[in-house]
Amino acid sequence: MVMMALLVFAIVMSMFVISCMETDNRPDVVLYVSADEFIVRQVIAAFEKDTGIRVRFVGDTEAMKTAGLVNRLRAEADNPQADVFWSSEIFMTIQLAEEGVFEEHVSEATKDWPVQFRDGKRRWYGFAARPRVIVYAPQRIARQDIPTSWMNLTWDVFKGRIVMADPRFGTTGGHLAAMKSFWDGKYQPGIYTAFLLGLAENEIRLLPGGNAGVVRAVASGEADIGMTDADDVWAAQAQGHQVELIYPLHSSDESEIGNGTLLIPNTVARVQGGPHPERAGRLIDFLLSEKVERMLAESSSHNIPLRPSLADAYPEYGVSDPLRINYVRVAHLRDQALEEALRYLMNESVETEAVAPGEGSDAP
Amino acid sequence: MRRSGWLLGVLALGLWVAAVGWPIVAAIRTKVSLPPTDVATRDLGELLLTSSRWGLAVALGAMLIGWMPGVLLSKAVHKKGFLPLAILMLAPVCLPAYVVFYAWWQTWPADSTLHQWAIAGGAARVRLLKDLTLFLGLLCWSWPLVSWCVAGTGASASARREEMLRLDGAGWGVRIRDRFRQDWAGLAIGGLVVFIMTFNNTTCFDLAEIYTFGNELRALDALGANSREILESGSGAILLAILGAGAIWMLLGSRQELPPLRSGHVHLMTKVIVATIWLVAVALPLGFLIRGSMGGGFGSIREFAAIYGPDLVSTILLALVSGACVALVALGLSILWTDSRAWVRGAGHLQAVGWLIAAAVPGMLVGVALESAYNLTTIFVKSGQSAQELFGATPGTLESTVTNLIYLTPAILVLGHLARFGFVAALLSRWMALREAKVLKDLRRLDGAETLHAQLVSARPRLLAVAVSSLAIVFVLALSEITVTGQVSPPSNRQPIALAILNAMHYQRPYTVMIASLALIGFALSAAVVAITAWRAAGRFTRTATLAGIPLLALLFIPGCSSADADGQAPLKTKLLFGSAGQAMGQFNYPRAIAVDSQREFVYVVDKTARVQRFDFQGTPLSQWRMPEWEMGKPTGLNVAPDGTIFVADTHYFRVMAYDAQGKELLRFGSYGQEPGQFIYTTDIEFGPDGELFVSEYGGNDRVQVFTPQGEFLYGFGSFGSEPGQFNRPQSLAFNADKSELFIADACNHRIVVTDRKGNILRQFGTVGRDPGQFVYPYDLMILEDGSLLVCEFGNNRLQRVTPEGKSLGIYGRLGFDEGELQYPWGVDGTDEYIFVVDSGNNRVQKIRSPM
Repeated sequence: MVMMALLVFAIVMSMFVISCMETDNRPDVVLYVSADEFIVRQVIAAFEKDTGIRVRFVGDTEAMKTAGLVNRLRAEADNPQADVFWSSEIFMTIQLAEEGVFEEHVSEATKDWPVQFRDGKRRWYGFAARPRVIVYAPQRIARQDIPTSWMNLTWDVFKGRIVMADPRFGTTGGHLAAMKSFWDGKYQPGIYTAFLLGLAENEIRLLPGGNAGVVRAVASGEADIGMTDADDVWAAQAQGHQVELIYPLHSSDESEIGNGTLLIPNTVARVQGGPHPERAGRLIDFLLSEKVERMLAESSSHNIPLRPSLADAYPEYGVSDPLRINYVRVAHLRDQALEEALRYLMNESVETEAVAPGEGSDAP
Repeated sequence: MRRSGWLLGVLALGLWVAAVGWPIVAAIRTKVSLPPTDVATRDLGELLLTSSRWGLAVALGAMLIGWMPGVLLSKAVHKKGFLPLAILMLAPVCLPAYVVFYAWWQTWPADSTLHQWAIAGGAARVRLLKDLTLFLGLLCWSWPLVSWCVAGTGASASARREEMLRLDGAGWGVRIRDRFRQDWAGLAIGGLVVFIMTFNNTTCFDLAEIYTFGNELRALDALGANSREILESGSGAILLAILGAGAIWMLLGSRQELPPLRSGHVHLMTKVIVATIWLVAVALPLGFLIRGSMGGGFGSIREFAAIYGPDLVSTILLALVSGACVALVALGLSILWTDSRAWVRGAGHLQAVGWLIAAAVPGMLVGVALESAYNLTTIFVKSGQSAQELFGATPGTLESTVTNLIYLTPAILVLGHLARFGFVAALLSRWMALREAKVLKDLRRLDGAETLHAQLVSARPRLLAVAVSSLAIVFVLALSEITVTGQVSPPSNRQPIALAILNAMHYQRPYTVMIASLALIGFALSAAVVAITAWRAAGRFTRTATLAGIPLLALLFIPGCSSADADGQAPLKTKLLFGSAGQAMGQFNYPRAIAVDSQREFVYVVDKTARVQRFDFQGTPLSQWRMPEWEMGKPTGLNVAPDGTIFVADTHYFRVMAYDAQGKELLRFGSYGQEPGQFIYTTDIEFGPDGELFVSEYGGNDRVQVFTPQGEFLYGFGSFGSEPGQFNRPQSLAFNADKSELFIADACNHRIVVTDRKGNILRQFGTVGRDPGQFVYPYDLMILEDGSLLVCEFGNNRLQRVTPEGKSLGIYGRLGFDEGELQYPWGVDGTDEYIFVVDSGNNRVQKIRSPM
């Protein structure tokens, strides 16, 4: 009996201690967040210090980037537990908003938010963006082969040397949808398919480890070039890896305005029916504050501030010619673009002759 | 109550229902009616084969390696050296498998010889090397599992039998075959366990960029597939899990009563082989981890403790709770198996197989089931039933109670750990039940010991051993569990430390990974001590509990340790600090190079905004200008010529630029390439006796080239590599006073190379390390008035003064954020009186007196 008592005592005491740790007297707010946990902790600490509100959060692992939390929000839609969703990307946020997972949030802090980075019904706001870039190994890519446009990835010279993250997760799927939206909408249908076929012919490898995995593959020599996010390249450079990045255009016409770099904003939204709506609003306003955009710009991720007052504050991370796209339209195209991409890219052997449009790659 | 022994059995059953049974029912009930989501998948059959191939290869390897240590372990069980031996054999399992893989992976970082060799063979060779590294990591982690299974289940051979075979002159082949006949069950169980754990491992394969069955199931879940689709997709794995669990149970329970553990003579060669296996498979990766964690200095440990200390404490407490729950299950099962009624024992068998199956299915399925079970509103709405119908309770009250339990406490994590690790209780309690002498069982029945109290008393040593061992083993496993934890973690201001480790791997923060891993292994080994001591001497409970308590108490003080002056190095005696993070004049964004014009008393600093800023010696900003282009990268080298011209190594534009003090461009030369006179990444400029420009560069053609003051190429020397005469990122150059010796900071070779003006090597000194005379990434150097060198070490967060021959004369500064402390300093320059250090990570410059 002594042993039993000891065990029960151990369980009860431990639960008690943990519960005590979980519930201090401060009011709390629940945040689901898919951004880099290391940076998130600093932002949360600043919020807690400023407001006295305790933040309980759930993060996501890099490999599952955002998709795990998005699925969890969907599962909890009838019984919401989160107050605020801070996503490191935008397209899945838009999808969730349209599924009714989020509700409107308007405040003094958000009333003048740039229209291209907010929902028409003000259910989400975009802030602190990061660019989509090409990462390459400067020692293995000849200077004349360094691409200037995404289409250049279909050049024969890159055959067997390209990697990209599994597009079903994170920002890669959104980027493919943006390409489809931009190319098929602005030029002619079929260009996106041609691009995919070109990548397939170049035997592009999909990696399950996310955008960071792409950079690791290039740094380690498994590949020479890849599609990724700028912050992952900066992290690798900080570790001494010899990788470089470029901001490719989405067309080969350099004189054309608005065909440059895709920006993927962080997004924040208030969860419909969340348990602490008032505190959720305060947290959202804080995340959209100049202070947080500065923190994110000065962090190792070097996110680009989107609020107009900071437009010129960090020119070294700025993108001179952002890709002009409608994020909502891209979000609508995401599933379609993804399905097409997976059809061509996911399995090792690709039946390239089965699909006609585009007729091969856009070789130089 | 006469037969109250069933109470513990029912408690164990209750835990099984909560952690496994109800989640399975809920998963099927809640989502089965949802329409198909049509989520795209890879070829699941192919992935099943990939996972199986990996599982099989690792299992076979682990059986091969783990067999002999298992024999040794079983022979040592009654000897004095058993405890240390057993702890050594548990060490690898104490670390998460992904950390063991990571440790091996870090042995060939970029630019290492092995990496260069792999690169030379192309992507296929790199891929092969990575696969081999993964295999090695998984093998190093899993072989002790086989050893323990061999030690625990075989063991029927007497020493006399082996001795007789030897005396009969039986050869090695015969003796090995004979031993295999005795150990096959243990080997098979161990192999199955390793196969299942490898098959279900997702994290290692994620890091190694290999698609497996488990990854794809997780992808399905994340992409919103409903549980019917996931269950259908995972049916192959579920079938394997059922078969594996059944096989393990049959192998384990095939004997009525296991014989006593073997004992006897251990051949010297066996000891040597086992020691070699341990050194290669355990000590080596552990050494890599320790070396890696030290690389960041104690500052990294301090930073880790400050950020993750509370998370580590809560993770440990949670693991203790999970361990205690599994210990209760183990007690319950043990009691069931002592019951005289066949159907009760049968119920115990069923429950035990249930735990094994739950552990054998991919962890992701466990997470899906838990999510479904405890997201109550979803369940009731989707299934069309109310809580009242199901439980006879008021929906609001029940829902809110359960919801609060799930979302405000870590209860769901405990359930997840139970589902994943309940098999430990099943295996240990079964093993101990089989080991109990039949005469004891009969006596207990004759005595009528069927109340709970009587059973606990009569079987006290065995039950105590089972309970404490279960607690300790599950404590170890729960510390690093990640699949279910990542999926069902409730909102909290403290995150499980395993998630932090995984994210740190992805976001390339190796120090966090290594320090967290070492913390885990410290506590896990403490648990191992407890488990083994309990196994050996169940009566000494108090002593073992104390043993476990000591490191726990130590842990509680980790955050407090953060203020300690851990590394013993003194801070700089800073006279002046200037600069802060920002874009305004006088502020910096990661400054990386500095040059001091001692005649005119100017300090020039360039940062990652590509701005060159000019300060006076009091830190007052005087002017600034920006490089003409910066999108591809920013300069990393600066120097001031005797006439006051500022030369900038415009690193990522493959050129050298020169300006006057007001920022007016005077000269630029250089283009991309590897031909003489061309550059890849320029790093520094130094001035020869006749005004020649010595320019260093890296990026594949790591060398020094010499130009006329007008930028015309004269000659060059050096190439990429680590041999004498070769460089790996020559980051800084400095001539001695009479310009006869050129000192080159060969940063990635962690050494200083001394040449004459023509590039002939005179000497080189320094190796990688933290001791005096050693360097970690020497990024800059300057010559002091007495001819000694002041070396700025990026990796060691310090300045080191050395003689021209390399003998250390002093070390200044340490890692930190306070005045006098440095964080990844890039540059140093100064006058005879003052030294200015670019404290890059702290976005400032520190001015100190010359150490002369």
